[in-house]
Amino acid sequence: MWNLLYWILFVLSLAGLGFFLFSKREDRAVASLSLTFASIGGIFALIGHPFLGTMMILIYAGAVIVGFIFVVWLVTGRSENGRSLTATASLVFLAIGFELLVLFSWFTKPLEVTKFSVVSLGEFFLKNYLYLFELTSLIILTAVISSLVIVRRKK
Amino acid sequence: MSTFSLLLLSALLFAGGIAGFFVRRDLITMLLSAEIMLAGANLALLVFSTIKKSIEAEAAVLVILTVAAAEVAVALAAIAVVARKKGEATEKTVSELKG
Repeated sequence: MWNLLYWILFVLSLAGLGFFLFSKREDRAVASLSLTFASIGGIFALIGHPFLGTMMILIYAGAVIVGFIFVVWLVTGRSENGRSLTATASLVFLAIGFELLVLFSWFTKPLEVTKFSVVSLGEFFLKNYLYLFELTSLIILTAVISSLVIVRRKK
Repeated sequence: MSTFSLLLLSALLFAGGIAGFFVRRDLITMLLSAEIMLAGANLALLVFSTIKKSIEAEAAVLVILTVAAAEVAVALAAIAVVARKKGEATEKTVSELKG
């Protein structure tokens, strides 16, 4: 059953990516990526990282994509629609995919899933990398302040 | 659910991100393509974390997610300002910016 769910998420993530690359309307392209990020979050959970899967869905499929859609609506009223991929670029995309398929083809074993808990992650951070953990909160604070400063209109 | 298929998905996501970044010319799509590349790299990191049964990669992915979200906030603000000043947010308008 988990295998079936995995393959459904696999196909959905690639479908979202394909729609993003080939769609001409920017807002639809961005919204389709929500599907990709949510599927990747599901796959994270399936391979034993449920906390990161939840974070991926909350942060990327939720907050980031909604922010992008708002900016697209703000901007596209005045800008031209994005170009879709040309045939050459599509071929290059397929060639890179095929090359990587050959490169990684020696991995054929099924993955043994080990579940990582939030408790172990929290202990790992707070015991070994407390300063790094605190630094990430500073980075977020700096990003919030700088984005507010950037968008402020000068009088 | 094999290691191969997971790494293949990760590689396809990364390749799709590269293709989007170099082919599309609007800043929003380029930024989103970079995010797709990051998601692909994160997936590969987590697969190897599961294989090695080590938590370091999971911690690294959590930090990457945080920093990427902060980066998106700043970049979206910059794109909104460029669009307000120049009327559009493409690679060309950014290369024309001064000081």
